[in-house]
Amino acid sequence: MDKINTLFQQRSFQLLLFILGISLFNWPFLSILVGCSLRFSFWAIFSCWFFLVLLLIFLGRCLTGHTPPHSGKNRPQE
Amino acid sequence: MFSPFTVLGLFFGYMLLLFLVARWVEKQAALNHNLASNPWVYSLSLGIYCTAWTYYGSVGKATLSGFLFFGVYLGPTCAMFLWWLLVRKMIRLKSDFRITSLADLLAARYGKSLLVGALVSLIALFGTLPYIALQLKSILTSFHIISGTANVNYGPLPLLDITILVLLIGFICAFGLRRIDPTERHQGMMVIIAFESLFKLLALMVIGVFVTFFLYDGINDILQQAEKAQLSRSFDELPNAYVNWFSFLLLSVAAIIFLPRQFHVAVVENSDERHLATAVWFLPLYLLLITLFAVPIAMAGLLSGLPASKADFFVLHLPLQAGQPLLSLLAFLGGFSAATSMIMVTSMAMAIMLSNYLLQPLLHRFTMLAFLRRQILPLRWLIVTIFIFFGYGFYRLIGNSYMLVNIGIFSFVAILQFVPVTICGLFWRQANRSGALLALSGGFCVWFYTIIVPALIHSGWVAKELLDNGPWGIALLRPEHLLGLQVLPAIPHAIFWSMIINIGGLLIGSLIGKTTEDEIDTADRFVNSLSDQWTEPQQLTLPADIDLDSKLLVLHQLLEQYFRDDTASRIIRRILDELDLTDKKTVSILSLSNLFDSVETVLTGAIGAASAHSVLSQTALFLPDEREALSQTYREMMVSMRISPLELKQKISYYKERDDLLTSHARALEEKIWERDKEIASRQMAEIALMESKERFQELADLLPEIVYETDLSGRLTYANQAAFSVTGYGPSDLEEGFNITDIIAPEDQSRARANFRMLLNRQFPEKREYKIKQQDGRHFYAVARSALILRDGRPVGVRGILVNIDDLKQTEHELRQLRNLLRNIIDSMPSLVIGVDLSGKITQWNQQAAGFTGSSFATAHGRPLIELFPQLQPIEDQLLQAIKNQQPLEKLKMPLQVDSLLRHMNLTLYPLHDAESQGAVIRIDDVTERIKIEETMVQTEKMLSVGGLAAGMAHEINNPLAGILQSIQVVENRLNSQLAKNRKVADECDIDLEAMHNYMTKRRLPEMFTAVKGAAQRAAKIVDNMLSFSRKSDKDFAPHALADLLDRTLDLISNDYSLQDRYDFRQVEIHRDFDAQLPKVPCESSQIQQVLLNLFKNGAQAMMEWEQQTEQPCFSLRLCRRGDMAQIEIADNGPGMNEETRRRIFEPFSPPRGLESVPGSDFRCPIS
Repeated sequence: MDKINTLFQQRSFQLLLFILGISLFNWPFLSILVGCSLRFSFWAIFSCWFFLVLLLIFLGRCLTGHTPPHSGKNRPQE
Repeated sequence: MFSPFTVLGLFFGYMLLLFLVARWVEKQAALNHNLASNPWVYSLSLGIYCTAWTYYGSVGKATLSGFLFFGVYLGPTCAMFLWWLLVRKMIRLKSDFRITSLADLLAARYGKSLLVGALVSLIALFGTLPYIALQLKSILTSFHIISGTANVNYGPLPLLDITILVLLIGFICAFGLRRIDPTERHQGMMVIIAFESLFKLLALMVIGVFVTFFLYDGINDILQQAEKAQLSRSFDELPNAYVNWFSFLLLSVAAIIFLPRQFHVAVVENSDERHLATAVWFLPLYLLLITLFAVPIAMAGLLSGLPASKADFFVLHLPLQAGQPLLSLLAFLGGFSAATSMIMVTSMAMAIMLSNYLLQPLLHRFTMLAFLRRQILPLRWLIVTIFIFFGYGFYRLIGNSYMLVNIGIFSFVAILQFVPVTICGLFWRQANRSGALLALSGGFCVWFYTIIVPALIHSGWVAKELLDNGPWGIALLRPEHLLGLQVLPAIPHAIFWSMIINIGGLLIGSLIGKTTEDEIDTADRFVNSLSDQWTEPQQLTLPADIDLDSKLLVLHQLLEQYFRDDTASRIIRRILDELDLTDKKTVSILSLSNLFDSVETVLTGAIGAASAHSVLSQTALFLPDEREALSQTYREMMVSMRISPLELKQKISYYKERDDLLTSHARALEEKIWERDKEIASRQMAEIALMESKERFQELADLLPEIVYETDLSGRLTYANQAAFSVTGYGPSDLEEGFNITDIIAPEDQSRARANFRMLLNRQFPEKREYKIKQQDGRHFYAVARSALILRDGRPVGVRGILVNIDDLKQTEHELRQLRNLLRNIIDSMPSLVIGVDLSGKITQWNQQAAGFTGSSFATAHGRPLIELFPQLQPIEDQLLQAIKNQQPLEKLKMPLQVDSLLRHMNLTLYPLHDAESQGAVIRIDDVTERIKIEETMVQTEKMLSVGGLAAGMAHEINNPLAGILQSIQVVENRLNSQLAKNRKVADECDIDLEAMHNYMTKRRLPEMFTAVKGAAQRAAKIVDNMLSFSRKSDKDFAPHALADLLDRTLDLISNDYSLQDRYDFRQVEIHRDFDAQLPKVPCESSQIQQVLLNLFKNGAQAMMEWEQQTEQPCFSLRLCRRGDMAQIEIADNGPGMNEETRRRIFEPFSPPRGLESVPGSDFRCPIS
């Protein structure tokens, strides 16, 4: 679990997730929905969306656990 | 539909609610209760991204373009993966540089350039104006829809619109622009933005649930019907679907961070970067929920026959169409919330940017405007006003030509221009001011040319020829097809070219342009703002040889240009305190540098980083030799530490940061301690006041004779005054043992007391509150309770009350009642008619005699005119009323009145009442008919008594001649007696034969005549004697006598009574005796009693003798007995008896009963007294 936490805290992994998210909701993946019914498309988009939200919830949890108290000032670790 | 005034009232009410919430939050913040410093408020406030564009526009876009609008919300969802990296960096830079806007951030990054800041402000202004127009369009259009005034022409200056705008402006100024230093967070505004985010989400979901589950059978049902009706459009049916989708995705990724309002809420208003961890998942979830029903509502609108042109407001139209106006009102308020929060924050952010980067430079350039430098706040209010009215103008200009979503996209493209310069500024050291200026200006120009110019053309403000043929007929310059690029639709086309120019300009400018040292320094700080690699620097010891006072004077003069004198002084004192320079006369060059930085930080907060830097650069704070000394110091430091300039800066920054942090913490702690001390002092004051108040209450309560008490909710006494103990006899120990208030109430009243107590707790007030109070010694008294609830925070915690002893009152009441009854009885018992009347002659009082006389009860008579009930008084009505009016007594005696056909005589007396409270009169009417008769009888009796006296005198005078007559007749008889020697001697001398004379007299019946004369004289003498004895009073014989002896003696006296003439012989009367032997002697006048008895016997005997029907032996039955302390003599005969008239008059003196006048012995009656 710690490894997953550390992974999610890494900036490069966050960037990767961003790219994956953008890709997921873009061509060519989006073309899968062509020809599908309106209902399927609707629920497919919301399902993927919800999946991203779940990932973000996990990310938020990881960040909360490793964030030192900071009131906005640049405070180096001592 | 609702009337415009109703909707406007709701609008005002909602704004007032927001105002009150914001005020409350700010008051709490002043008490260190920071409600806004909370991850949920922060995350919810980020929902400001969803404006009216989302609320109404998403449905509109879904109607026209299917799922295309999802890109606007999926982009931010993806962007959240980068938030921790990007926004956290900006939050830290915000604190370091006192950043107040995106313009500040970029200006600070690119050499504190005023030009960069001004350009950013300008782009933001042009970029957000359409967005503001969009919000105003949604507010005003929804207002007109909900109030049914959509088709009403309000003329060129609609008053309703202006009212709404003014209200919005006032609210923004009141809560967004109250202080000069905008780096202070606006907690009130943040909370209401969070509140509005929640409200609009709930409102839209309620409408979505209503449409989906009440009008249809769920989302699937709507989508299925839409498919059947071929209302939906899939990706392949939309032209350039993927390009548009990607454009939306890209724009929204930028917008979620770089829109002025988003930057302000996410960065400037952030109080703790840890809140980002919550926001990264909460905001996407919020976006998912708020868009969940957009497609179903859009399809439902089309299915229900609403035209696609109204798609933007399906959210309002569908509930209205379904006959649910309240739901549409809720939808309106949701849309209003979405729009107002955006307008508020955007206007505030824009006012700060425009003030710092457009207005302040102008004020510095033109000295004639210098007086305005200290009017920063009013100028910002003015900017907000102008900004919102410009937005309104934009809406009026082209707002009706585009749907909401399209207008929003214009802004998004403009905001996209900030992305390259910001990202490069944060991560690329080489990016410089030249590149930024090229990028921003190039990108903005392309945006304006490819987006705004076509918009103006479509609205008819610019000739369409430009769109078709390009300027001057150059087809390659056509706004929507630059360089002949025709494959892209308008928005992607604008994005493509603006980004090419923007990014190209940034790269070229940065690579070619010159980078100043300042820029390098700032770029390092920006790029490394999240760096955690620090090393401990060596301690620096520098000589303090610079005069501080002269420097402070320069700084004070500078600050005075922007703040009031006292504020400027306060700022300097605070800075000196923070830098530990208070009371110091000289400082080191490093301290002076720190002082410079602190003042720059303060000024940045007020007028922006670039302006602050520019203004400070122009001051003469550092003399040339001081600048040299500072440079030398830095060089020596670097040499001694053997470190690079960057490392030195980092170390200095570290110390400065640490110092700042400690100072900040210390100041925060001091503030908290000061606040706490203040709170403690105020609490102490409050406690003292409370104690004094309590003592005062206690003393007053103890002085009261009534029982004062307090109880808890169960009725247990928690307080009682001295009177409670002294009156009831209970002691304070009873109170401590949990004594209940009902324990002092007598058993018969306890259940009522408990019921009343419960009623009081339920905030009802019992009517009968009189109780019998039980004292400890067993005695009782009556008391009335007056009590009230003790409320704490609006909730009852007990009961407080007093018990007033009403024994005296009850006694007085009883006596009054008795007195009233007595008076009533007296009045009622009076034989007179007593009538009370008011000034108008109406009856106010009425006794029983009056009721009996008239046959009308008091209830019937009350209030009626006297004459109505006493018509007999009609003749004197005027006199009565006049007397009542004049308050004068009136008396009418022996008035003849006809009553029941009988003539009666009445005395009427009127007494005026002089009491001010009851003016009127009392009338007394007496029936004097009988009295008049008695008076007449009395007069007659008086006459008779006079006659009696006269008769007695005459009798006395008659007695003497009668005695002479009797004596003379006796002498005559003696002188004629022949047996007497004297007579014979005288006869012989006279030679008269006595025998012959005697024979002569006998023959002439002279002896009989003498006897008759003698009898008559004796009778006359007896009559006279009786008269004399009756008229003569005597008490000589008043002594105890045995009544039996008296009776016997009387019978002896009368037993020899025989009268031939009267034809009665008492000896023939039989006597029966029945005497009580035990009867004691009775005090009386024996002669009078005997006289009475004699008369009775004589009369009775005569009556019996004369009664012709008498067949039995005449008989008297005598009975003597005791009755109580009286003696009773009964005499009965068996004669004819007496008739009623005789019996009635039997005791009247001198009146022989009728029929008995001729009876001997009954010629008169003796009075019995």
